[in-house]
Amino acid sequence: MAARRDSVAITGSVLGLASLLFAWLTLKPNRLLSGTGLELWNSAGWDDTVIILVLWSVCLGLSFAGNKRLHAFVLGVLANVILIYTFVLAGHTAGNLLQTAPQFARISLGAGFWLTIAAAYILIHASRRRLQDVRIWQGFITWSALIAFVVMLLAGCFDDLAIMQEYNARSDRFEQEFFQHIRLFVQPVAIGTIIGVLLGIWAARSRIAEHPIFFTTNIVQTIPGLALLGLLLPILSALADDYPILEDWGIRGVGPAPAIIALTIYSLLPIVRNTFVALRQVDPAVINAGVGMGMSRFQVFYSIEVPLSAPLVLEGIRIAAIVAVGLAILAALIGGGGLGFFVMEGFNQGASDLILVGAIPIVVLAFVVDAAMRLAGRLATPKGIAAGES
Amino acid sequence: MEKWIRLLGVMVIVMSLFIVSACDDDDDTSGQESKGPIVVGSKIDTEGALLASMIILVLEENGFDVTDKAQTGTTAIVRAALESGEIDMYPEYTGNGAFFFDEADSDVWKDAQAGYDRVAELDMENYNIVWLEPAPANNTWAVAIPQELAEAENLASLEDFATYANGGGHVKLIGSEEFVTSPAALPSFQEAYGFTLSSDQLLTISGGNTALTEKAAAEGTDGVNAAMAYGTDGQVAALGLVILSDPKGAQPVYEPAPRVRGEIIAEYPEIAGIINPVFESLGLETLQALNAKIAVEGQIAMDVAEEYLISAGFLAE
Repeated sequence: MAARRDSVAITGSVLGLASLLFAWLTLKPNRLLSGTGLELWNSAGWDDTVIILVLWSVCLGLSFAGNKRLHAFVLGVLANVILIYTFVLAGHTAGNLLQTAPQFARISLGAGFWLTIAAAYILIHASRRRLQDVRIWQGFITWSALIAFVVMLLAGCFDDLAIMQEYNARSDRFEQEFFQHIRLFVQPVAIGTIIGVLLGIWAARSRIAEHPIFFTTNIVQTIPGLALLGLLLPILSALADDYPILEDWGIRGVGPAPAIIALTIYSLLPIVRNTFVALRQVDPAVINAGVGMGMSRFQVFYSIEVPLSAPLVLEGIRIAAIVAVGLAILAALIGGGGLGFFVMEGFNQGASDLILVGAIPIVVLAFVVDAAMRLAGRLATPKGIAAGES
Repeated sequence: MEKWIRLLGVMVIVMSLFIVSACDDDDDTSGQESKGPIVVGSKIDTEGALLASMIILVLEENGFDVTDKAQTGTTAIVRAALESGEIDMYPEYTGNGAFFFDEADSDVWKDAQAGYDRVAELDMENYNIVWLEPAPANNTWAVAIPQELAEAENLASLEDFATYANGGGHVKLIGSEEFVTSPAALPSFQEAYGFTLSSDQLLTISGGNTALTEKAAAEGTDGVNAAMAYGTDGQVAALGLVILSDPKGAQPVYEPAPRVRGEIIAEYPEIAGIINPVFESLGLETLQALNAKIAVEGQIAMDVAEEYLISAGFLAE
């Protein structure tokens, strides 16, 4: 078979080469000013620049040339090598730059760095596609750079970068707000699941209930997050005034309660909709077969409908969870804490790296929650259906 | 069997999220025979966090059990929280009495003592809220310009600025909506010093964020060369800006002071004796330097507060 070009890999390689043109690190005289961007050759030196240039060029070559599995694997390995090299270089160069910089100078990561990461993962994605039947190779190229990154992070290799300096100054508070953020999305999704699944079942069973349920959930979904919070604040304050017992339960105008209520409302639509579709798409013939076998209504539900609809319902919960992880950022605006606290603090102080201290963990958390829920979905898919799909 | 293993797997994943979310870090029961608990809040800004941290540390030093709710929310939220009893105290500015009680036109706010007396009186009457002693630092509105501009055009005060603007000098001032429209702010400067900025010379942003405005002036973003600033801002020098002086005293005086629920003072009158000396020690340069440590050096408010209180002798060790 003639060598096929892998256009995704080509895109990744070209992007990787282009990333060299952008500022790689930014040197700021203090954490407030925007500073000047430094390209790779101005910060790390020409030697490292040439090495990275060569690596990307080889990747580009491989993207044109090979369609064998080995080529894909080498491409993936090279991408990981570039990533790890970039990480090490970033930490090391930051340290060097700080030696000769004024006292409160900060080194931030520039566009070039982020583009490098994006390009490398495009390459890894392209390689993964061609390595579906060799899971070990595929796993190796997926996880190596990530594991190396975590190891380097814990070892303090990145401590000279502005983000880590901001983090280190407030690591206790970060831990507190991180767990608060988890509470801020787990609780609404949990409550939303219970209410949403019940509403979904009701809508699926009853033609009359279907319309009002979807009407309501659709409408509230369109209300922007901040607006919904703004609406809830006075309502909850008034309720807490009239019924003091609510205050004892922690439900009042400020704090996490309005945020959790708003997030619960936003979780409803994906869960209700998916439960509804999941139940409706169960083949009536299967249910008839069950009834024919003598199953009671409850047994039909438990043995047929639940397993068949579980994957789709879990998918809905997954979507709700990811939305909640992101929206929970708003809780900080009303004293509810969470990672949004650092985003707000960074914004108020004009310190962009502090914003990243809040924003990047939220992105990582979203990925982790997504992966965990996908795994849960795969586990919950009955064997028969899974076999049919793959 | 397989089905049960799968079910178990799903439950483990879901339960682990629950367990993580149940980890309650803020179960800090100090459990001693301490007084309180006293809930201290603040606005979201740097200085609010700093002053609240000082209050918390000095109260704890004196045997109180304090709940830290610093950076509670925006001014409106913090006020509501105090008035509803959700927090017991927070640092507020004397000049804000003009807006709380709708007396913006009165001149009493231009005098530090008169303004303080007025707001203390009104708060006591209307909400049973006590104002403790203020810090002698005027955190009022100001205009900051880049050092190069100040040196090139010889601008030190707002009078010089007015002459420069009227003489056709390039001016682009960035400020919040409130700063540009409130009679106590920019209009007050314009009236006192005899200059008017047209709408092309103004860049209005929605929040009152001086970090943003000062950064814009420092970097000349969008042609901006003058920024709204606050008197005790710590980052002015670090950004290469200078604050124009206000010799005619056009601005109301905004001195920070703790605003405390009357019931708390009634129950623990010794609080006044504990907190007052701290605030009285905070002059303008002191506050600017402390704010600079937070804004420019990136230290957190609690650490800066602790360092200061130890060096000033309010905290042991």
